[in-house]
Amino acid sequence: MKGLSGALLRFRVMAWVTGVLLVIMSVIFLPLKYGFGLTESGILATLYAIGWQAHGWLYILYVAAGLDVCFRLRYSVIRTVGILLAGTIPFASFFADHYVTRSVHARLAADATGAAPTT
Amino acid sequence: MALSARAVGFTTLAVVLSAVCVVAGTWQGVRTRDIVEAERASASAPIPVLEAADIDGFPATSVGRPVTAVGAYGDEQVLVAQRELDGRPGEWVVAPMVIDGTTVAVLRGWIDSPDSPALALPTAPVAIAGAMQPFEDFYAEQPRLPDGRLVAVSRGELEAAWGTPVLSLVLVVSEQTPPSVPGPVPVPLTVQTANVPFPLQNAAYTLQWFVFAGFVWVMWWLWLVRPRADSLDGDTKEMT
Repeated sequence: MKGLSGALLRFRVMAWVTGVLLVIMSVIFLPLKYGFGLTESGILATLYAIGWQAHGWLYILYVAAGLDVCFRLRYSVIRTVGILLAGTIPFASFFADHYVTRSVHARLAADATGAAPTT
Repeated sequence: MALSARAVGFTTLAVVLSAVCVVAGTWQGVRTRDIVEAERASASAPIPVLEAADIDGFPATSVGRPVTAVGAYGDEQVLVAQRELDGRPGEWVVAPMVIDGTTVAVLRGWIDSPDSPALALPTAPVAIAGAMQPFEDFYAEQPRLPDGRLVAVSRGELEAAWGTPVLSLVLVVSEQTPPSVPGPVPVPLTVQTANVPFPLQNAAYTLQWFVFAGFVWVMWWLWLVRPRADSLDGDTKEMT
């Protein structure tokens, strides 16, 4: 299971960076735009555009890191797609992080005691 | 390797998911192109009004497009009720102008009351600089008040009032030469372009959707060549 810890670290970083940005955009900026119309011009408009731009590209990295760690964990297709989609739902990536971290720790513990097959 | 049910399922799923990504990416690509063309058109030099549209329709790039027109107003002006300008209540004045046999609905501007002296029409032909806007054909329920004023710049209502088909876009005046004094105040365009030099966000989404389509096939390959995951997934479940 060499590399699993590194894959987990990359995924956790992306889950938090993508997740925090998505929460900021959806909890603060969406109400500003659709509730108060404050993102039409000025600094808020710039931040709004940059925020969604950044989320788009960070989500690509999130998917790459997620695919890597899910493959190493031998997740099923359904579970993997669930983890990947969590990056598009506010707060969901934090749960994905928690879930994947638990899986990895369990896998590493099992490997240490030789309880699980190492393929 | 035999063509297992699993492989068929994986491949079907991958085809569907990547097709969705390609459709979404293509849509964003078309949006990008449309916005670029609309921006280019709105920033371009004015063209004669009849080149921007005709009775039957108009290209998408004509909305917001600067145009010029020369002609005399017809005297059957129509008022559009309850239009504010900078917070002041008032109305809009729409006049017909026949140009080379085609009747164009010209939104002259805003007046503060229905008996404003600004309603007076110039007696001689005028030159107009302005931009094209779509008709407001979304208040189909009650487009006309009992006193004859319209509630919207409705194409059907104007054609009924003037008894002739009109150009498929409204000409919104920004400048008239010679000016009417007093005259209606030119109004800002309702439908504007995004006013950005390049739609970076749409372009980025285009690219990102195609990257996602690629990810689908990466996953298809990885999960297909990998041994069955079910039993091992079971292990993981027990351990956690």
